[in-house]
Amino acid sequence: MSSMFEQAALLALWAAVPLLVGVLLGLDRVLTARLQGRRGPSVLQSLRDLTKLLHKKGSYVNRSQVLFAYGALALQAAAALVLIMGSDVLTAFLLSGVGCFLMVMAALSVRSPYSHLGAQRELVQMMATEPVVMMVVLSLAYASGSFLGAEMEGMLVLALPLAAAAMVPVLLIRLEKSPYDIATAHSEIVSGPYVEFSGRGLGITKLAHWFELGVMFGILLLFFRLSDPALDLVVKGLVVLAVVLTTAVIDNTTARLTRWRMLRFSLTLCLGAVMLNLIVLYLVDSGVIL
Amino acid sequence: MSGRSNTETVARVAAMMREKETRLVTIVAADEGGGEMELIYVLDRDGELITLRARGRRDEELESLSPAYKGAENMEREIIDLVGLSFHGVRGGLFLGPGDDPPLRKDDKGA
Amino acid sequence: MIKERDEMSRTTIIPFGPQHPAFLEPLNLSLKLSEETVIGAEINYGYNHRGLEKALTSDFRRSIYMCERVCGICSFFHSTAYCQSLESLFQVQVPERARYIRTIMMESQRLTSHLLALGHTAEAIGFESLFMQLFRERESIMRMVNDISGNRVHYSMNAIGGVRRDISAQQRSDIVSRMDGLEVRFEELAKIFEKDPTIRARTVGKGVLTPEIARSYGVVGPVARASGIAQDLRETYCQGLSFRPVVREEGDAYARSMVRVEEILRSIDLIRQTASELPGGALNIPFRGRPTGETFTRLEAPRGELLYYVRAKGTTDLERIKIKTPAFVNVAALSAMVPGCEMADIPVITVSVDPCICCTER
Repeated sequence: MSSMFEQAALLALWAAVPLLVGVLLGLDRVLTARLQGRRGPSVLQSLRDLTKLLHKKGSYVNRSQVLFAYGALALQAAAALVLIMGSDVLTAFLLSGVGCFLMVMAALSVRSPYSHLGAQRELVQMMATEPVVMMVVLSLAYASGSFLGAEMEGMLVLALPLAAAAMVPVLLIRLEKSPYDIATAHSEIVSGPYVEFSGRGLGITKLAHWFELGVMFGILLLFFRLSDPALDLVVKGLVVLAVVLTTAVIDNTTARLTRWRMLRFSLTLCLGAVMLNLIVLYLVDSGVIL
Repeated sequence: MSGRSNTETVARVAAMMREKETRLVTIVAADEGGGEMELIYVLDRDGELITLRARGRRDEELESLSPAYKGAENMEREIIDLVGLSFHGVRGGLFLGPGDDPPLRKDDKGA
Repeated sequence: MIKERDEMSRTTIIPFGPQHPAFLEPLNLSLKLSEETVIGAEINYGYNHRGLEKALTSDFRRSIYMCERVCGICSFFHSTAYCQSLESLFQVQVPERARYIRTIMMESQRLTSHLLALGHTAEAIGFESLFMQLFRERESIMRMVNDISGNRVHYSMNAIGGVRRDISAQQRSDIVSRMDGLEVRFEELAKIFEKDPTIRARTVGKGVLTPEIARSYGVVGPVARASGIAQDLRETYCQGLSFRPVVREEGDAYARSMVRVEEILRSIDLIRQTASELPGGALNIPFRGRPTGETFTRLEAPRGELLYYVRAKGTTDLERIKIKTPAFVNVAALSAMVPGCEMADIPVITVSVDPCICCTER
């Protein structure tokens, strides 16, 4: 079981999630820039942007907007904590979902047409990603026999390759990349749900988004668990880098599609892939095939 | 309907457009002084420019080509703003705000 | 059933512009949306009106400088049309070398304008890396015109009676080699516009302009040619260089982009041909006195037909200048293209029309 030292280390890891995600996003920016023939900013630029935002005063339309944003941050951070502590993965996923929904409420609480359009698009985005991630969590629980993250041992990706692969489009959508950067399509709806936020409020929404990305990456990394801690870290790092590279390449070779295409793609191909994987695993386990 | 200074010219322009493929290039309005304005309807037919001229007074309401040809509407709105003429059924306010003096009039102080 | 659905969905009025990331210039589209479908649109102008038609009448010599500043992206066409109008009033014949140099500069500016329009289209549909690549190609043209004229945007090369700067033999061979390189690289990018499935998904069938509606608005340029209207003024004045307009029938945003793609390739050819056949001779011819009379001059600017009407009465100030720009008629046609489309298509449709608001409003 976990000692005090282990608990403290996990708490430190949780506190470091924004830093890690920030560096990841910075790396993504540099990769995108190089793919476009530019130099790009430094890897720490996203972190600098966030700290700058948090230091600014900003203005807000009404107080419920800010309250919802802080609520979203609290829930996403709680979801990340639950996941890192190795506790119930389904709880973490559901907390994150409510956090997303609070962000939508924040966007709906201001009377701005672009904000409302962005909120509706964010809801469509949730419709596209939540069922897939739910099925991924269920398949992880089925394959490992438990919903607790600490008890999901071994390289589950070998039993659930399609489920792990289905997380990549989900991450593409959550990272707001072409072809599915729908909710924050800046050339269509300006900033979408974030249009009425500025300064510290905008920084809080960014931080909430980063914790959410932490939860999504965390669920993906549950597929890759090795007993040797050093090797485990290396493999996890490689997986994250591979995902960032893939999403950057896809982002730079496609235009933006519509939200209905995103929904169709996600609910047919991605959901279908996870369910197929689950069915095959069940049939293998009960000895019907192989 | 008839009786406006440019009614005949507008009718001729519309007839020319109906009989063969003719495009309205622009409508030029120039202030001749003394409250008289010249209107030049510039048309393109088979790559050749054809001009039809009419005269109008500043204080009268002129016939509009926009019922026959959609593209004329913005051209007439610009003339209302800049020269100060008025066309039947066409409102101004394309570029200038309400109450601004038409700048392309001859007796303008800012020449 | 349909009536119930209409009553249940709310309509919102969204101001698209004048400040919007999709628009380069201030234009306001007041859109009435039902969920994300556009059911009505109103175009509001006036954010960029500078009163240039009045300002250009004050001194016909100073106006050579000022008419270029009507627009940044077709500045040389304005300058050439103005100078041609005055040459017609003074009844002077421009030397042949000057005409060829003007053609090279005009077609180079057409290249920069079309590359900007295509890059902007790619950006509007979220394809940022294609936008970057198109602008990199555009940058090589900007450097070329900078070498020739000393400027990137307002070339200031025209004078009444000819041109002010010459193209040296070294610059001539540089032009030809740059065009060769550009042609090869641009053909790769053209293939992307033609075949990429995500671009096709966002542009095919969007903002359809039928030939009848196109004629009723009097649209010109690539917008008209994409709707099947085969008119290009270069047929009349590019003598000696065989020229056929690029025409497509579909009338959607894809057709307009493809017309521009083809026109880029034709302009590259024209520049190469003109630069290799550049005749010798004087650069300009002097003129005397003050202009009198009235004249109409037309040119095929990147967005379509540009017309200058100049009336002079023998003094340094002109009596009337009227500039008819292509964007003036093309932007008005937006109100026919937009109803019924999705809000996500508005940037693509607007940018495919290539609106130049400073030309529209002067």
